[in-house]
Amino acid sequence: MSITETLAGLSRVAAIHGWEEATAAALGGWWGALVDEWRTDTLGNFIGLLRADSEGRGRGVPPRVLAAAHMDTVGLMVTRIESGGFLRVTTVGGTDRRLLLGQEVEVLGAGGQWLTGIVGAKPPHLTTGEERKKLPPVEDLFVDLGRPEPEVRALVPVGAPVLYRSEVVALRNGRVSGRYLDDTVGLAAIGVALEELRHRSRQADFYAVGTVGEEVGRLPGAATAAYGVHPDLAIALDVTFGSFSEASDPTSTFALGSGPAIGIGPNCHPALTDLLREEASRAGIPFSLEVLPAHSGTDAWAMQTARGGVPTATLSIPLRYMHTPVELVDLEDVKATGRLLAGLVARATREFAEGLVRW
Amino acid sequence: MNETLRRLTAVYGPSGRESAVAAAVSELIGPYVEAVRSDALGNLIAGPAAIAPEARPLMLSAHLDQGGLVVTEVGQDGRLRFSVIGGLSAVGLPSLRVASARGANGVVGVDEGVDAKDLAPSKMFIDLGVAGREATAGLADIGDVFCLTGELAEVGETLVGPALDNRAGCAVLIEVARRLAAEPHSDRQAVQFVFSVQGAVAPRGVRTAAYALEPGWALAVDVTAAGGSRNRSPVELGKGPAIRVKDASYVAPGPVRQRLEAAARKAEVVTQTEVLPPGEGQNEAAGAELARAGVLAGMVGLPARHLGTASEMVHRSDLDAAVRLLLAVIDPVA
Amino acid sequence: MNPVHLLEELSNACGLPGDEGEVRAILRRALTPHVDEIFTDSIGNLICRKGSGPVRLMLDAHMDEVGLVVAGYDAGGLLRFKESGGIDARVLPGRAVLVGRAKLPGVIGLEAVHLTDEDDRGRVVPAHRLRIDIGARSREEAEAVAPPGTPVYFATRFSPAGGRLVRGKAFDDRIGCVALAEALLDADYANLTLLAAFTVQEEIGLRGAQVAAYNLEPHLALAIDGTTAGDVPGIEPPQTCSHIGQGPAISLMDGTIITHERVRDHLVALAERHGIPHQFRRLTTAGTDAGAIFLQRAGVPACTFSVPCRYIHSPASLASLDDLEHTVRLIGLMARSLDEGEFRP
Repeated sequence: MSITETLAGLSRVAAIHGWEEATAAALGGWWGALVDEWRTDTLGNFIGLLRADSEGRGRGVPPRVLAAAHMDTVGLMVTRIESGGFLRVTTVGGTDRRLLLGQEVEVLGAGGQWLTGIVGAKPPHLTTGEERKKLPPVEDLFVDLGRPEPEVRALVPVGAPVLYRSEVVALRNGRVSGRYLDDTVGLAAIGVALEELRHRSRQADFYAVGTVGEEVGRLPGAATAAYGVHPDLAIALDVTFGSFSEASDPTSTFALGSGPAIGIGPNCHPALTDLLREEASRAGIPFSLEVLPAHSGTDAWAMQTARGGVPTATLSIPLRYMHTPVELVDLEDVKATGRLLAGLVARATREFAEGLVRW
Repeated sequence: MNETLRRLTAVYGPSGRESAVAAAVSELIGPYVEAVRSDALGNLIAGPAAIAPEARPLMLSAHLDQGGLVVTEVGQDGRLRFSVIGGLSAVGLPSLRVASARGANGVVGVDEGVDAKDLAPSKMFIDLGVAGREATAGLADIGDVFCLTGELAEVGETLVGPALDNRAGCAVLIEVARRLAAEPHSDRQAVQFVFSVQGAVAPRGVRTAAYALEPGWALAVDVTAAGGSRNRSPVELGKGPAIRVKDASYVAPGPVRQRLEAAARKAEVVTQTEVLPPGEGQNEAAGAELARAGVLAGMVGLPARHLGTASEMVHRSDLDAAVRLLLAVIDPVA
Repeated sequence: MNPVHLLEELSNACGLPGDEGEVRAILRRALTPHVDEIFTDSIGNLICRKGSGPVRLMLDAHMDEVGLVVAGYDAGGLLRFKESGGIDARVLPGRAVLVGRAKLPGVIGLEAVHLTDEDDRGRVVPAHRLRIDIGARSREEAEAVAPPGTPVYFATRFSPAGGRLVRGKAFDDRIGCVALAEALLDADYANLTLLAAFTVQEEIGLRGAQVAAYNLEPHLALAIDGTTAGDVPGIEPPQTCSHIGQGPAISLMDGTIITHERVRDHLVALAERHGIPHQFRRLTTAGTDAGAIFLQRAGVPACTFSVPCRYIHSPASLASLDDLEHTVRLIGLMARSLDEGEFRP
């Protein structure tokens, strides 16, 4: 299956925190074939394990390397059903409310079926000039399923998730666009790494993890997965801002096709950052550096303080139009990120892992 | 439960100073459990004397503490300046009666010339009824915490009083313990009751308790604000306990929603579903779920009106329904 | 080890969150001869152990300070930056800075006031419009000297002020580091394992303390910080928070913890019994490492007391050596009380 098809498949099943089971099942179908064993944990994190090769195991207890990408997405949730069958909603995670109006969405019905709807508001010819200059607040929007009220009440419970309805499309030059590439591209990069690592010598046990709950702030999935796996080092694979105009802030945006952004800052262990940079140079993988002075905005933030501390790093894929239905990436960046991750895992030795506590 | 609540709402227990209310809860739940202990932070833990290490008990929690006013300055004029702890409503404070651990009584006053729309704790003070700083000696000092006082009253179908956030949750847990003790079951899942500290501020005590107890499941019982706007779900008094699906820092995992919904169906308890907009609401499940490698944690809300005042209001039928819901979670009805 | 010299050395040293190497090296060198064990962990905390008694007392002070980080370049060679920790943007313009671990001199510039609108003159210049000028003439030159991620520090030098006051940068929390170092020197407690944690990344979310407390499993923890002193014109108590010269400021609560009642009360009782000036910290917001420590594992009784410092999180602060001395004494009294079994956590 091509990487575009893989992304399309993951994008189709992705959902907000609390509804990550379908993505975990999809990972079971893909990563499951590439790892030695896998499970989902208490909160629903997907945890796959590719063991060190026999030579690696012969050297004693292999170090544990964890790579995490998150399975959950931003979205909306139904708060109430108004007369007429219109659904009121609130946001989950950092949904961009600037583009909700007129958006096609999907609402999860009680029977597990996705119902298509349109986000509506007071129509433009009934709004005043002043009102049209402002964005309606989310509470003034509604989702119209185009169904009679009794049917809506029977089909849709309060608390139902609401997602963007959009397909992944292939654009020119190996670029693709669609919903929830944040963070299906991170999951795809881990898949690329797994495919490569199966054929490489490796001294580390590699844990491929899909986390729950990254978009809701407290990172419950990353914190508990890192506690459970207790890795010697951990990498978060997520997205970062892709630049798209001359006005894009050069301190926070990255060109598409420039490879993964390697984080530098307090959330990133300097020895891990150095190894990533060195491996990228050695393997001829393009990369840039992402300055992260505080919270990296990724699962690495929670993993770093799990148990008695985990050395962490971040690898981020440039992505334009974050948290919209038309997120856009360059597939070469996804592949390069996966290859760099594989290179890191292949070079993670027990000696290297043990050295990470010496400052 | 009325008597339990009458007793619990009369006990002083602001966040960080929960020992008196912990002692009262200990006395009330003691007859129904094998062991009651408190931990390093002051959480009260009641349950079996010993649990097999791999048993992963069900943890039921309710926070002990109530909001309070902590004195930060004693003015020359004898007025006590304060900061608010926990979820007390600033606009509701003026003219309310308050009392401290050392038994000083006071009334919340507002500085002269403050417009009603500018009401803020920094423009209020506690009036001890004495003149000048010297006269406050022995009555109050910096660091003292005052709580709202008042008697529990029956109003219509509801109960009204101070500190129902969250003595109502504590009373529900004590009633669950009583009912479990009345109908012993040899193969019942072990239940640990946790009465937690600092929960009116943030999910704190519950987090360390969950670490220590290693529960398989955790359910928090707490009051939740009735009412609603378009971007939050409607929750009403008397319509049953509210299952929290989303708030500012929490989304209920699928297995939690399903277990609570199944228990409600079997016990024929009508429940409400609660979805809060970004930035609103906190609950102890969000603290419990982070313990160790993760705990499936949920919140059962007791709808309440006038939260953060001396007249918090809960519906008796909601408390009863919450007890039946929790019993059905513990012992699934055939 | 002279505490004033150590404070001078630590105040002049530089270390942002995640960049505490210079501070760590100074403390390691100063303390290695005086402790039983000294080690680091995965996040970079420096831990000193002294004694091996049954009661584990954790002392905490953080090594990091607030500052700036190079994050981009203009074509003409000016540096763009991001903030690291809670910086007061009002104090940045027209400031001398040190760039990188090599401490290259630089300045934070802005357009001449003559060229601004009337409206702009009363406004704080947002940090994203400021640039750091190291004299570079091109983007390439600037990037070669100060690659992305290069830390930028305030260039303030330590100096004595009037009486027992001293002036310098980063007293929050290098003064706490000195207090811990002093407390370790004389420590000799049969029943205690004294664990001094010099932590990283406090300013961006109490990060190092979480890791340290999890690993050290203390029975009791005292966090020593530098707290704001608002004893200046126009501010009345309780907004003053703390007052210079009135002794350690014991925390009642902040945004992360309500301090352990018995620990706090005992600290006050000890101070009163031994005639140590002390005060309560009047602000009930912000946070210190105690807020991270007390939630680790099954919970740790914890309290913060702080050395009052005027103008923290800015390029130059003022603190009193008397307050430092009284803070060290209070740590010692609490340790002694724990050692002798007078206080049990």
